[in-house]
Amino acid sequence: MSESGRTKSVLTQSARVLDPSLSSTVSRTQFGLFLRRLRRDRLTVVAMVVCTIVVLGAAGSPLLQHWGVIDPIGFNSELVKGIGSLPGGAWGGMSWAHPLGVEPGTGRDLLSRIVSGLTVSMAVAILSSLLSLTIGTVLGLIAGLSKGKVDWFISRLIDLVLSFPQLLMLLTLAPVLVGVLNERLHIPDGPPSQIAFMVLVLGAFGWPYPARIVRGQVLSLREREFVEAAVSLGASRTYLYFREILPHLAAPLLICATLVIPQYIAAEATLGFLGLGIQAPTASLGSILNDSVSYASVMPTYFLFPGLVLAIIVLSFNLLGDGLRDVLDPKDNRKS
Amino acid sequence: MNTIVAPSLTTPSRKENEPLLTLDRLSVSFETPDGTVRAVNDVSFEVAHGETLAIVGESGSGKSVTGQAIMGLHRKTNGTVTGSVRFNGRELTTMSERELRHIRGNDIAMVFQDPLSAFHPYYTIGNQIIEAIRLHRPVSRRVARARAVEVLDFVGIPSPGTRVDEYPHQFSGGMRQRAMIAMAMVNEPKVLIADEPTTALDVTIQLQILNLMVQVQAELGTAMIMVTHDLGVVGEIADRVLIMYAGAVAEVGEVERVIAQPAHPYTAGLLGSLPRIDLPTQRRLEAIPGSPPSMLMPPPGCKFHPRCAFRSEEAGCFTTEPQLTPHAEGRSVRCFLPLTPKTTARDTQEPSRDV
Repeated sequence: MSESGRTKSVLTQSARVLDPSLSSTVSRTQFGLFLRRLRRDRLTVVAMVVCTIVVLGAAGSPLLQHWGVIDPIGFNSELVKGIGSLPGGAWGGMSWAHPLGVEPGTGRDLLSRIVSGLTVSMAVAILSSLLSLTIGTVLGLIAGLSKGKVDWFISRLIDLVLSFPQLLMLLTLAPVLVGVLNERLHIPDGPPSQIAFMVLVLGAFGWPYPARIVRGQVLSLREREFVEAAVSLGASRTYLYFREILPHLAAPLLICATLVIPQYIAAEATLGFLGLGIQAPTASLGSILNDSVSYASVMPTYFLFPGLVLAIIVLSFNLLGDGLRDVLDPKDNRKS
Repeated sequence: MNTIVAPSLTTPSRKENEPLLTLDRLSVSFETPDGTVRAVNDVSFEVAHGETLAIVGESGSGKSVTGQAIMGLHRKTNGTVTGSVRFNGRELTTMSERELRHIRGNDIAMVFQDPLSAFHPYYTIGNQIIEAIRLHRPVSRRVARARAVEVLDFVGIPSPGTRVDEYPHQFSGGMRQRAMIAMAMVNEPKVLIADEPTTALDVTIQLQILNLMVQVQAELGTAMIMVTHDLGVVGEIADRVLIMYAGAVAEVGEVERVIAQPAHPYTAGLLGSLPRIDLPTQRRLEAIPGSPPSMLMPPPGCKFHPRCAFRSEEAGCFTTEPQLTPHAEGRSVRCFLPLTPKTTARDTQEPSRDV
């Protein structure tokens, strides 16, 4: 290069002169662009705030319970008119001490139960989406990259799992699997075993969706010209997979996660509603709803509040997922 | 090593005639559900140090596949290559992926048609050039970054020090192609394969990019294979031209001679379809009738005969496939009835021919 230094400066000059379009562009980082777009999308910001509060609340509720801020388990017999009966006072016993009222029969604080129920619901939702996304990503990557027989096998496996009657399987497997988890794997009886059961089953049935997304993405990404360009520069296989293809999966997977989490929150509620979820006295959104049904006509607030919370969470996560999809799409060239 | 060849648009100057890259009867075929597609058929050519060879042909003539197959970049899942590609005395077609990786980007580099899709959208231009350097040179990121700024400056990108940190989408089309060229030349390859580098650009930018490529060549003494369908581009920068039709070489020779006096009817047809500034403007551009043959079922005999105005039953155009045979002045033509100066006169409505 040294002997060409002189040539270089001359050539650079002429190359410069050739291009008059030296317009200055304001450079933006990818993250800056992301923030700008996000700020314009008010609904997504609101959804994000709600989701953050939900996650923080779910993570913090054991601490709150420890400090005595909330008490989801303690009975307040003086607030109900005897065992199994309705709370005294209007609106399900609403008061400053119990803003959402108390549980019929036991007098447990409803707000406390909802907040601590969030922990179980979110734990199940997040853990099972992690599990299904991990299995799905790995299998989808393998299928998309290997093509041929392996791809065929994984694709048929996806079809097979999707064709299983999931809820029926859950109903039959529940007693057996909880027992196995408890005895064989020494997961403590009660909530831990029940959570592990739900996570395993939801994860085992949930991976086909992310797997399909990842497989499709990989199939199209591997044919993209920048992959070819990287090969032409001498890039290795590992480089291609991790540096060229994997970054492209981050956005779809993040979106997939935010769309899968509300599904699992709802799924946990369904299981709880059918009596398969977490068992009393531990609360989850599903088990509270399950308990509340018999009081629906006499104490509508009992199912209204947890139901509303469930609806808001599911809606927020879905909106967040939709919003992220718009914001993270690099092809979306909306001008600020 | 770095032979500085005077960039000249009119006289090809080759100091070293020993070929750098030799293709010998290279064929590429692809298995498809409909049958075998013979995309490239027995293509042979040589490229000397610092020389520019243009490969010209219509869409689907196999010109791009030829360029890709040199470095083994063709589709491997259903494609097979036969014949030989020798680079600096080494056979590339039988080389392992691992060995090929050292050649790719280091000795032979590629410039793509659409720089927007050839750059990874998630990394900065600088990052991608740095990676291109570090794939082949054990240098620190700092050194590689300085080199990246240097090449960006060389290809004429203004304020390269700041633009090195920008993303491909922040570059204009012409600037992006400059950056692409910078990335391809950063390791000072001996051969640069440019696959229609100007097709995605508008006409004013095309000329700038062509000039830049000539400069790069002058700087590095790089040999260049320019794959294009634009004969205007060819006349501008190439030393020799290779006309491809239906996966095979139709004609090969020095650019001036081929353009001034095409010997293959297809070359003549291509030239006739170009607007020319030196002829009356009333002249209608002549299109070549028909369309390129399907490579699944190529026609018998000469593959060009269904579209050829000069075909002749007696010469065997309908039944026998002509071979690439030496014509005058170091040129070769695949035609039983190569055109002569008399027949190529542009205004001839009734083609006459002396056999």
